[in-house]
Amino acid sequence: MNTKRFFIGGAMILLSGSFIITSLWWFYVNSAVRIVTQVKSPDKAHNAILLVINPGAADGYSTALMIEPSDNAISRQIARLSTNRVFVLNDNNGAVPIGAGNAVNVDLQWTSNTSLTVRFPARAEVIKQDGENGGVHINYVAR
Amino acid sequence: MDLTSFAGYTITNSEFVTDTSTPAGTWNILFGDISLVHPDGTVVQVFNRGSFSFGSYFPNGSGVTNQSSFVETSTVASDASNPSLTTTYYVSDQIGSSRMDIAYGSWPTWWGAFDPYGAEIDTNVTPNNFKFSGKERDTQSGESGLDNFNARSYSSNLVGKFMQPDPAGQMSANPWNPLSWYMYGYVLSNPLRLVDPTGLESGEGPANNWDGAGRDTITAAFKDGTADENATVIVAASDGCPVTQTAIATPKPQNKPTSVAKPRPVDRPGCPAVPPHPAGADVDANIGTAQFSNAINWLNPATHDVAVNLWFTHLEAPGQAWDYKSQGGMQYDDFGNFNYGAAGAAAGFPLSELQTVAGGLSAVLGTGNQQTYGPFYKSPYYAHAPIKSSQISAGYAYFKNGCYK
Repeated sequence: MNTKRFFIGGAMILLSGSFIITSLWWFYVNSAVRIVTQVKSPDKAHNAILLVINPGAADGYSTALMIEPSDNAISRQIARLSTNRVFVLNDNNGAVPIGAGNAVNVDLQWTSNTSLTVRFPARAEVIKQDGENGGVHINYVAR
Repeated sequence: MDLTSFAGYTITNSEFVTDTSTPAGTWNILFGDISLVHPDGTVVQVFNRGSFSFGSYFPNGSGVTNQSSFVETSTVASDASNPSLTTTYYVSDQIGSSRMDIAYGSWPTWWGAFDPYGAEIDTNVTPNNFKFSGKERDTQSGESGLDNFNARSYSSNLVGKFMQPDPAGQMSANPWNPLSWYMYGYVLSNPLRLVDPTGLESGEGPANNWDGAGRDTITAAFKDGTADENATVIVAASDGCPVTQTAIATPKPQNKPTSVAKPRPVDRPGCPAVPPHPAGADVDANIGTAQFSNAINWLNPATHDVAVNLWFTHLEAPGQAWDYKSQGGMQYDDFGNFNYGAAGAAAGFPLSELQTVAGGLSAVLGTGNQQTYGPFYKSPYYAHAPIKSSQISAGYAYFKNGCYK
């Protein structure tokens, strides 16, 4: 079914011949989303997942945090959905060194079953920063 | 200790005796790991404490006997359970495979090598089970010998095959890359460069840090499979000799650009400088390729736009030929943007469309900063940092002003 949708969607876009639509669809399908690390809450109910997103040649890497119920199977499709992300940052055009896997150095620490502390470089460019997600409170510490 | 004078001999026995300066009385000798380091850098472990508590010791000896070398002594009983003395680290290569175990005192206790798909070469004894690509291998007697890649198991003995298909199914396949169609395949048959940390997605390894002098810089030290940023270990040269002692927390050096910016032609006003680029990357050649694609597809005007769209977006997609930052690091990000503008112009796309696509993608993926830089469809920044949108514009001007060869 997914394969069928993929080709139908692609065929419709191809027929339109629009560079903008075709490009967005193509890059979205091919965008590289890579899981860097996962840290489960003490009660194993939640999973904090750190991702690296490569949008392609015209942009740099971004690092993102998702919080998912632990029983959710993580797939690239879920990881692509920007609405699931609670924290997005990047290297601020070289102001912050990137580490293994092209990720900004972010530390994740569960302080309770529903409280997560996120430490990140103060000079990073923060795109999105939510304080709560799915019953989990997130504390941010710029270091 | 230096065993050079014993070259050619076979070691059949080893003993530890007290130093001549040791006073008579009760004494202990404790030792944890004993290894021989060959001149070619290989490490053979002679003794591993294994199931012993820290060290093995000869209790309650007495007297002064023959002269010997200092090994490791302690009369403190708590050393047996001291974590700092029982911790070992392993040093990884460019894809995260463990290549050397380091004892708490920074001496090597194990050396390993793997073929490109992870089969271990010249297996040496080590209690470390985190091996190929840093993944845990079932190595106990009667176990599978498979590597745990989280979502799937991997067999290094089957030349790079997962034991289960990709859970994402055909959605994960790239229609233009046949290697991705095979659902059991490992890292698109590029195991020396790519890794698959979760069994779901291949990507660049932790680092490609070969320094050109036959040495590999440390990318991470691990304890029980978890990166330890506070570890201090020795970097070994290809001859096995330690060359530097470093803390893992030190930021890894970026690869130096392999070229310098092309000087702006003084006799051609309006020609922006080409940013530093990887060796072999040539914006002029890419412009030529884009012009050819644009021209050849006019042979069939009905499909021209679609064909050029697909061709261009495929080359610019993550990890593809014109995604230069994925080939050498973020220092080539500017060149990627510049080339995108230049080749896009050569392919016939207006600047506003190129900028909108770049900004729109970041908006779709949630990585664009529309709050600071404005909506993705709006000049001058298109949700991008000014340096990124300006490099796209510079590349566009480079083509339009005829700056290419």
